[in-house]
Amino acid sequence: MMITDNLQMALNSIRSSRLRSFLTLLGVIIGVTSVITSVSLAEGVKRQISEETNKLGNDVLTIRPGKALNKDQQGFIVGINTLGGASTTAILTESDLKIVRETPGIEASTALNLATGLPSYQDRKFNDSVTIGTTPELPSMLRQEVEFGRFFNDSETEKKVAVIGRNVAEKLFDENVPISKSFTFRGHEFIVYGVFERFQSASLSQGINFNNAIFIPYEIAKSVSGGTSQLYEVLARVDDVEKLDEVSKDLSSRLVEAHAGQEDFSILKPDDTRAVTNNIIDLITAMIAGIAAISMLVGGIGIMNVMLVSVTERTREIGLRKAVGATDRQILSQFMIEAAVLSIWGATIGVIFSGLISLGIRILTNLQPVISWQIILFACTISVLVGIIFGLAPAIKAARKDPIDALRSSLL
Amino acid sequence: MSVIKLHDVSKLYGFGDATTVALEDVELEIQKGEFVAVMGPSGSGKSTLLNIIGLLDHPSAGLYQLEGRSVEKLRSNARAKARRDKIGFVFQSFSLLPRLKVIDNVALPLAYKGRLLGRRMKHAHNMLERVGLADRAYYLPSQLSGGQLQRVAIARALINEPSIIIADEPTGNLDSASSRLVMELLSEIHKLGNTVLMVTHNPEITRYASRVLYMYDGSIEYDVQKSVGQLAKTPREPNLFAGENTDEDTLQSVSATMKLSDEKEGLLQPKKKKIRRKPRKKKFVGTTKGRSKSS
Ligand SMILES: Nc1ncnc2c1ncn2[C@@H]1O[C@H](COP(=O)(O)OP(=O)(O)OP(=O)(O)O)[C@@H](O)[C@H]1O
Ligand SMILES: [Mg+2]
Repeated sequence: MMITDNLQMALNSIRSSRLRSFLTLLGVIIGVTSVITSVSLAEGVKRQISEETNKLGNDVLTIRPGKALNKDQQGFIVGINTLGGASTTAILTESDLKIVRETPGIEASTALNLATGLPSYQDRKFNDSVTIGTTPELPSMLRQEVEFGRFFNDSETEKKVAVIGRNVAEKLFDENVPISKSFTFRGHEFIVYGVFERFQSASLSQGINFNNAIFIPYEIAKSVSGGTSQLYEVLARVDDVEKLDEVSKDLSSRLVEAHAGQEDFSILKPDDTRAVTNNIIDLITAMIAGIAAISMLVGGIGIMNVMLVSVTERTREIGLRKAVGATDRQILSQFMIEAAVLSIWGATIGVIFSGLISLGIRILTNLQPVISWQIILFACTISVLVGIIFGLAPAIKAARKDPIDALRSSLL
Repeated sequence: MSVIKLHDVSKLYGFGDATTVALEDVELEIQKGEFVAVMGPSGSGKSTLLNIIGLLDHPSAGLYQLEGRSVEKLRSNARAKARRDKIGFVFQSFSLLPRLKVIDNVALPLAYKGRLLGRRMKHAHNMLERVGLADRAYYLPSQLSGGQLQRVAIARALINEPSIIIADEPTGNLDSASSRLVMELLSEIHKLGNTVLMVTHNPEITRYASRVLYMYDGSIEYDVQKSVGQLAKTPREPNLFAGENTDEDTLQSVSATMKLSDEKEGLLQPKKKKIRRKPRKKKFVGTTKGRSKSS
């Protein structure tokens, strides 16, 4: 008896009880769907983040007040303080910025300074906005294009000008290109010079959604918000990517010295931000995978159940097959293949479902799940294994049936 | 060399007080080319005999040689292969797999033999042509009449050119016209040199046989060689074998016979479906139950 015959028979018998097969397969379907969906979502988010951090540049160091990352002795990241600089007593000051600038190997740097207060335009306010004081180096540091207008230059650092994120344009000004419109911030008039291209979704470590940000010159921000010189973060670009680790260590020791021996700041390398978010994503993925494993188990038991019923129902068929010369082994493989086909069918439905779900996610959110053929192969392999493992007992039961007892059975 | 040789074959069911003797020290030899009809009342052990010969069942005691080779030591796998290659079965009903097309049913033994699909289909088609059902090859069994189903079953039984074709009441569920068709077919196969072993309750049908066995209570009581075309004559106790077309008739005639034999032994039993008899030989202690034909 050939495999193809068995496949044919398996398809026939599944087709003859479609609803029952589908219900039995729910476990497998849910398992496969959740594995593929969660992994593809995780892959997609990771890819988006890595694109984003690549955009920030693999040569840019981010310096934040407070300890953002908890590392163990081996240097592995074991935790992250997501609250960031605002909640810590540690601060970064302009003198720290000066140290950054003086560190050899650092080619350029910029500081981000948060200014409190709400901007208003005519009667409108945008509550989610953040106003950030910074320097003209920012766009090149972020590798972000100004879509309309331009960023302020070195000669304009004393002027009340602003470059805004997309959401600010839409929510505060209710138009796409509010260039040369003016708004009020802390009683001062600011003129919009430019609008940034939309930033990709903010990563966990970034904290601020730059699409909601209003960027104004550093000195102006300092003067309108009462002269504070606390920095939200400092971005520094090294001149040689190869020396990134070296420069980062050097910078760290210089800052520790300036902070009287306290390491109350963090230097994030591009890989760190990626590693932290990837760690969290992996954790979530693992949790979903656990749920998927349980539903696969349920699915396997379902397959076993339906196959046991099927073996009992088809006792006379088994008797007839044995009477015309089927060996125990041939009966065994018939039922094994049937169980496997059943589970492949479940996996196929699961793959289709997860495809639809990720399409929905792409349409409804700005996340972009990536379904790789590896994960499809993995999910299908697992479900075939489940089919084989849980189909074994019923198949053995079928193969061991005594031909004469099976023939006497009234069931067909 | 005889195709089938049974020596002292017995079959017991159950144990202790509930032991049933289905076959008792059966001696039987069947030569190649014989058409053997087996008759006897319900519960006399005809099906049991055929199942043992067909390697579906194991004897409790005795020797069985198929084509000169003892089958005792055959493992399940070898028995399956022997069934596939040496034996063709036709059952009373439900002989075909309902979900397979007629041609696939016929080709099934070839499939288990590992023949390639094209060859299988060609061969099965030839077989269906021989039984006159080539035009029904792609029907499902549920779309055929009872007589057609039995002819398909015969085609399947023949496909591996077996040493013996075993048919347990192949015409049991058919009207006389369909019965005739099926019997003509078996007779034709016999004339081509095949060996046929068949159970029937219809004395008319023994016409086609070259030899008739009468079973009674697990033993072969009479073994008559006859020429094909003639009706078998029962030497004694004609009511044992006459008019057993229906269950009722069978039961009546069995009861009548029981009465006869019981009287001989000085014991009178009331007429009832389940007939209790004292064991005739001391070897087996227990009861023999009559089974209805339809079971
Ligand atoms: N599986 C079984 N368990 C117990 N007893 C059985 C079993 N199969 C058959 N018997 C008994 O063995 C005896 C012979 O049965 P068998 O089926 O061979 O009769 P038969 O001659 O074929 O009858 P019929 O003409 O009704 O088909 C009967 O008494 C029956 O009750
Ligand atoms: Mg019988």
